[in-house]
Amino acid sequence: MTDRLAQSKRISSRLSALNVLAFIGVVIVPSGYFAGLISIETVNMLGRYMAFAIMALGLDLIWGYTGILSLCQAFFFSLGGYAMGMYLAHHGGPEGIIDATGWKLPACLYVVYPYKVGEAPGDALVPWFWKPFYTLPATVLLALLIPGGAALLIGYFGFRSRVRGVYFAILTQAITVASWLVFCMNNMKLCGTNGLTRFDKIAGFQLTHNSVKLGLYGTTLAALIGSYFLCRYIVNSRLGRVLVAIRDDESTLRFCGYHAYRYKLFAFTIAGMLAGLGGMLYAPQMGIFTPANMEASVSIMVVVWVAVGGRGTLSGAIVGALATNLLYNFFTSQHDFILFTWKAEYWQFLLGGLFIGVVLVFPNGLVGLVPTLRERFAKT
Amino acid sequence: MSRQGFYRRLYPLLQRPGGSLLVKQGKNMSDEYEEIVGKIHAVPRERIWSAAALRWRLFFCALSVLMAMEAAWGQAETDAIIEAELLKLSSEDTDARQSALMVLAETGDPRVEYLLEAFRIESLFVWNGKVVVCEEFIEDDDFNEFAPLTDPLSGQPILENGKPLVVSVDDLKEISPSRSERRFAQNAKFLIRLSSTDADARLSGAKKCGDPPGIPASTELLRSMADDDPDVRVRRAAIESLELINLFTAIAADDEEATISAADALGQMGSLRAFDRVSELLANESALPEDEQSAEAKKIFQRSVWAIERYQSRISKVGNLFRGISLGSVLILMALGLAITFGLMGVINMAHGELMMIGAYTTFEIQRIVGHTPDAPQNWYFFVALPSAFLASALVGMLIEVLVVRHLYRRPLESLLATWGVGLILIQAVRVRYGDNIGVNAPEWARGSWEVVRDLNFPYSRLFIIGLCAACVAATYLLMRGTSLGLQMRATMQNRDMAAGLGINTSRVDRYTFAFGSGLAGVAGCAWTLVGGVTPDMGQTNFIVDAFLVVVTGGVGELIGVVFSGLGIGMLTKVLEPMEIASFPIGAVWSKVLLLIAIVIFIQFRPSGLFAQKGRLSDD
Repeated sequence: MTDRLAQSKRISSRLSALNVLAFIGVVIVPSGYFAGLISIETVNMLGRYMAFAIMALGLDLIWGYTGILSLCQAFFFSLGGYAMGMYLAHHGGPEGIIDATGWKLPACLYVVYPYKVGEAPGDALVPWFWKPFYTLPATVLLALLIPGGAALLIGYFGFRSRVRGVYFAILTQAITVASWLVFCMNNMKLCGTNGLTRFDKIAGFQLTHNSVKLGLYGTTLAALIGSYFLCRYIVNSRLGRVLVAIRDDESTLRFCGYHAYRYKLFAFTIAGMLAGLGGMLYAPQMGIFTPANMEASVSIMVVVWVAVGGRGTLSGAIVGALATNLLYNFFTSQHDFILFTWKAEYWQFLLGGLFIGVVLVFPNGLVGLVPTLRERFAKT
Repeated sequence: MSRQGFYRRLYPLLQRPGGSLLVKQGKNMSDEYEEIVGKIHAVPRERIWSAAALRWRLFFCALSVLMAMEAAWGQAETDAIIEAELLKLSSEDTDARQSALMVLAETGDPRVEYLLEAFRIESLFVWNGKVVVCEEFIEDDDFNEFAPLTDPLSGQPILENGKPLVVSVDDLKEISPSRSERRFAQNAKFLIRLSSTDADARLSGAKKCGDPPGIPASTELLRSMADDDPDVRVRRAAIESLELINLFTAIAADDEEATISAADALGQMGSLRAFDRVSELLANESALPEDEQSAEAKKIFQRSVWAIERYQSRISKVGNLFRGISLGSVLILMALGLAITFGLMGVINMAHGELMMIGAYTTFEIQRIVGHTPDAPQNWYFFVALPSAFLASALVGMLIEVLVVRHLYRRPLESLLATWGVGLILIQAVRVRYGDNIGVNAPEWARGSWEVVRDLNFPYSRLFIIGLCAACVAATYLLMRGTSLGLQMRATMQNRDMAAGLGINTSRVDRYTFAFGSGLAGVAGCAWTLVGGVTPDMGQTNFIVDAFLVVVTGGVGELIGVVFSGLGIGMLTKVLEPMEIASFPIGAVWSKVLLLIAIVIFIQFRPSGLFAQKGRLSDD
């Protein structure tokens, strides 16, 4: 247990791996794109995966460092995504109508509006909760504050009554499922299972333009680097020490006079806001945002990303999210290997194996693999 | 001969001395019943015996003789009649057609239903001097229309040299029914159902006959059914329909006295089907000018409306209670296995839903092996499937324990990830093997429902699940409390090291405990096939979150907690669902959300569930 503390101190030695990643992200990918070696689709895809990595950083903070397994990270991600999606839908495709108060009913909402337009004229209005997302600055602010507020609320009720470990995981999963059901309902005026679509412009720029896609990639990269430094600052501070102490022995910490639940609440809220940030950056790059991003399985996937990369290390969260998603990208299409043909339907077997393997075989994840191997070689 | 003709001939024999007792105006079922009972008590014992027994003996004798005869030559004779009358349908003479329809309907042959429906929707044609059915024309590439022909009696395509017979449309002569004939055919369909041997068909027929505007031609038959039908649901529906027909004919004939008495009778029955018409009558009566109103009629209509409302609200309360118990027992079944693997052993078994899925697929596999189909039912297969599902899931569970879970007893949070991975692999394996959707046909005894009183139905499948749930809880309790294996299980779960020190082979006990919990999941999956769909990912989408919620609410470590929380959650859901908040109906989704909020609030006060463990263990 004690050497876990030491492990988190050893971050500086691993910074080299991150340096390589950052170098790839900042220099190689853009220059590869300009040289024509990397297509804009790949850049876009990497941008999306980095948005996932931001969400994974948040989970690492709450799970890897504080030891609280949260299964509603994807819910916070979706709140951020929906906020940005609503902004994009406001400025989206040309369809839709102008309602009685002069607001344009967004195309994707118009399609699944619970009432036929003209049938109940008073009802075919832009709902009040769509209106704050009309301007970009307000949207960005809300996309951080809403997930943060939701996390604060869930965390307050959860931690105050000392719901711990497994129970907290199940509680958060149940909350995710419930809100997924709500977001899927057509008469919630959140576009039902269709999700938010028909995106067109962000801040006046066409989303389909390559330069805009590159710009979004750059923004996501900057956000990821910023989030990383924020998290690093948190875990290296005294507060970070308390978080690790909560993970390792909460009861003793409480007996020492710390209000553990305040620290947990803080970490949980930051994690929620990071997920919201990820979702906000994901929506314009994906071009659609549906409730499928909120399904219970997605939250568990986030946990696996962190576990694959190495929990309790910030670089692990980033490495894990990128590596697992690149694996997913490769193995969900058909490949002819020398001896057999890989089919897309085998991916779930591989994924299941990854879940089991990361727990049983390499519990320290990819990042932990290097020192483990090094030790083993040193012994022999 | 057919059943209807049989009824007709038997009717004088079967008729009670008091005439059509059950359809007297203004009497409800229970009064009738008491009256009959009173009459039976009034006569000497020997006469009861002779009256009741003789009648039934006669009935069965006649029935068996008739059935034997029908097997020998009845079929051929009916066929001949139908075919002769069929041709008359094509005649230009309205009277001939009318009489043909009458005769066809009176044969009461179930095959005539298809025929009459074809007649009604104008797919009956004459071809080559024969009457045939063509449901839809087909076109070739040059837009020439052709007609594939179907036999009007069997409903099967007519074959020629082993291929379906297709003829040119020009060779067909249309038979076009008039409006009144179409209505007659429609009504005749229901009349035929009345004499079906299938109780459900008779029931739907009896109900249809009473739908507005009612089929007065059916009264005689309905009356005999009200007396003699072996199925109580059909008797009830027949009595209700008779009164409805009385009401409709009385309204049509402007007969106020008959209207009032029919409305009164329906009110006393609490008939939902009469509600609209009776409240309309009340509204009409109240809308009349003061001096034309009849105080008597208004009073009775009002009384009837209130009686129906009162009865229906009582019924719906009992129905909701039953649905709550039923949902609760489904939840208990789902959560019982989890209460062992998660509650007792502390493994966050995310593959629990997949173990249920395996139980469901085992049921499917058994059904396939046995060859149970709706056409050739093998109703016993389900009792083979139940233990098989238990064994299959237990085996898979044991495998999971040996390969994965065994290493994770001290790392519960990580068992969540590993078992989720196991679940993914199981889902995909089943999907590769069986595809995305399969159909399990419930055995016949699990279809249909028990009508306790009028309009209150308890589906047999739900009743079975309630019973199964009680049996599983009892079996689990007995195993845990009454056997040495149970004792060893409890000892190991409470203090692994101490149990090992006392000579218990803890790893073996772990294996069996996990397998038992998994087996219970299999039983739940098997039971689920009676009420829900079966897909590879049914565990993840339907069960796992609910099952965990039930266990967490109930409190970990005590099986009794699962029973209480399962029933509580089930009841609460079904109580919330039909309610409205500020005229906004709650519905299924919001009731789930509200329930969740309720659980979160509940956990504020009882962080470790309803039945918390006490002492040092609870801190883990």
